[in-house]
This record gives sequence, structure tokens and C-alpha cells, in this order.
Amino acid sequence: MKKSLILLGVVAGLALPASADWKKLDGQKVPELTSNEWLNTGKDSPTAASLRGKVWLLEFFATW
Amino acid sequence: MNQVGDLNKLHKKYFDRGFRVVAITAENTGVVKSKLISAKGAEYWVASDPGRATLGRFTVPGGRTGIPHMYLIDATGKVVGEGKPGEAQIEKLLEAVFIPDLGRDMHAKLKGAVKMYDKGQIGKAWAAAAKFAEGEDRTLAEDAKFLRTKAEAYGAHMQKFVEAGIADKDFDMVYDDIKAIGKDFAGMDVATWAADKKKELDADANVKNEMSAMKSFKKAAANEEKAGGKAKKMGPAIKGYKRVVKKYAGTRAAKMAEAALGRIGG
Repeated sequence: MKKSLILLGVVAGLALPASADWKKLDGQKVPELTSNEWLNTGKDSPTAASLRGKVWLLEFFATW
Repeated sequence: MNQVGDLNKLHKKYFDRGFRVVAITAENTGVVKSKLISAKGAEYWVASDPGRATLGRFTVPGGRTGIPHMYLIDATGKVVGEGKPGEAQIEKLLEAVFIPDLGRDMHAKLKGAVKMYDKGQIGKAWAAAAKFAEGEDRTLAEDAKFLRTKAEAYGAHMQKFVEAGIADKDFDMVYDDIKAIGKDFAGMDVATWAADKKKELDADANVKNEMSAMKSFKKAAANEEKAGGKAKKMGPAIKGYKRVVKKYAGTRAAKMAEAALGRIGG
């Protein structure tokens, strides 16, 4: 029994939960993307239009 | 797991189901390569946008500003959440994603049809598979039916895009989709539907007005791009946006122009 509970905890831990600041929005249309250069995309330069049909997570970030 | 590790995990785990992590920074490519990709091992898609054009455009009512922050976009191109989603939220949205790939080996006699399908000639592939769908070779018939069913589902998926675009008054996109359906799905019912829909839209005065409004909006937006964020050079863009708001009140472009004016302070 204890073993099963531990296993369940391990399995549940594999899925990432939402962060505390996660909130739903009303579904405004995504604006166009602008970039000087894309990295990790192969030859693709993604646009909002080319990403239609996909689910995507957009992060604005800085490395500092 | 750190933030980059979490994003790598999501990007890889759901990639084949149509999910992407897209990260954008104002820092230059050299910094991104050394500090994010080499040092932290980021494998998801990353873009450098030193002019902050994307961030500037990305004003969501009620949304947070500042860096870092995240938005979740669904398969129809709508921003449905803010912050870091859990896998449950992603899984739910992925249910609506259509994967065009056939995803299985097909009978050798369908090689030609599969080749057409993979090239995006869906209507031709659908027609080419028809003669095998009722034959005595059950494996071949099953595969042919599978291809034709997949092609029909693909067409239905594209049809939904057109209907959603009409509901959103995104007529540039609607006309692009209609053109693509006519070409790629030629010979199928969905292509006939698209041709009829085009006729219907062409005859609609409201659609013409929306298209004219969007054309004017795009000119103003191009002027905003030219200004490169410098307030002194924003005059033509502000004038253009104001014209759209006044002349095309109630259109989608007018709403976008209002939002642009709010953003650039016109």
C-alpha cells in the first residue's frame, strides 16, 4: 500500500503543475511576432500565422 | 527543475502533438546563444527582437507587463491564459489540434497517393486513393479509406478555420484560407464549399468595408514600424490610426487602431 502511494506520488510529480500566477484570459487574438533571428527552429522563421493550428507558450524573457 | 528545464520538457514532450515553446527577448542573438542556449541548454524556439516590437504589440487587457512573463495561445491563435500553465491546461488545448501527418505505414500501392498527400495535394491524394478503397485486398482498402478519411478530416479542419475567421472578421486570413482550400483540396466537397463561401463574401458590403479598413490599418502599422519606436517619427502612424478609427468605426481594424493609439500614446 505504502509502495503504491509512493509510486503514485512519483508519477504525479512527472506532470508539471500550473504556477500560482496562472490565470485564464478572454481569448484575444495573438499579435504578429517580430524577430531579427530565430534560434533552434531549423530553417523556419515562425509567425503568428504559421503557428496557427498549434498550441504554443510564448515567453518574454531576459538572461540577466 | 529550473525554468529552462521545465520549458525544454514541455517543448519536447508535446512537440509531436502540435505544441511549441516560443521565447522572445530584446537581447541580441549573441547573448541568447551564449547565456541561454550554450550555458543553460535551451532547446525550444528562441527569438531576438531588439526593437521590442513583439512585446510592444503584446498588450493584453488585464494582463501583466514586465519580464519574464508567459502567455498560452490556443490552436486558433487566441491568447487563452497568462503565467506558467500546467500540463493539464496544455493537454486540454491539444485536444483541438489536428495533426495532418498520416502517422502510419501505408500499403505500397498507395505510394503515389501518399506522396501527393505529403506534398499538400490533399484533393489529388483523396481522389487517387478512391479506386483502392473498395478492392478485394482488405489491407489496401483499409489504408485507402484511412487516407481518404484523414483528408476529409483535414478539409473539415480547414473549414473550421474559415468559419472562425469570419466570426472574428479576420477576412485577410479567411481569403488566404479559402484560396488554400481551393488549391490543396481540389475535387473534394470542401473545395466547393470554399468557392461558394468566397462568392458569398465577395458580395457582402460589410466584408468589403472590413477589408478596406484593414488595408488602411496595415499602412499605419507600417508607418509605426518605420518610426522604430521614436516618438518624434510617430506622426504618420498616429494620423493613419486615427483615420481608421474615424472612417471605419465598428470594424476589427478600428479596434486594432484604437489599441495601437493607446499603446503609442496617440
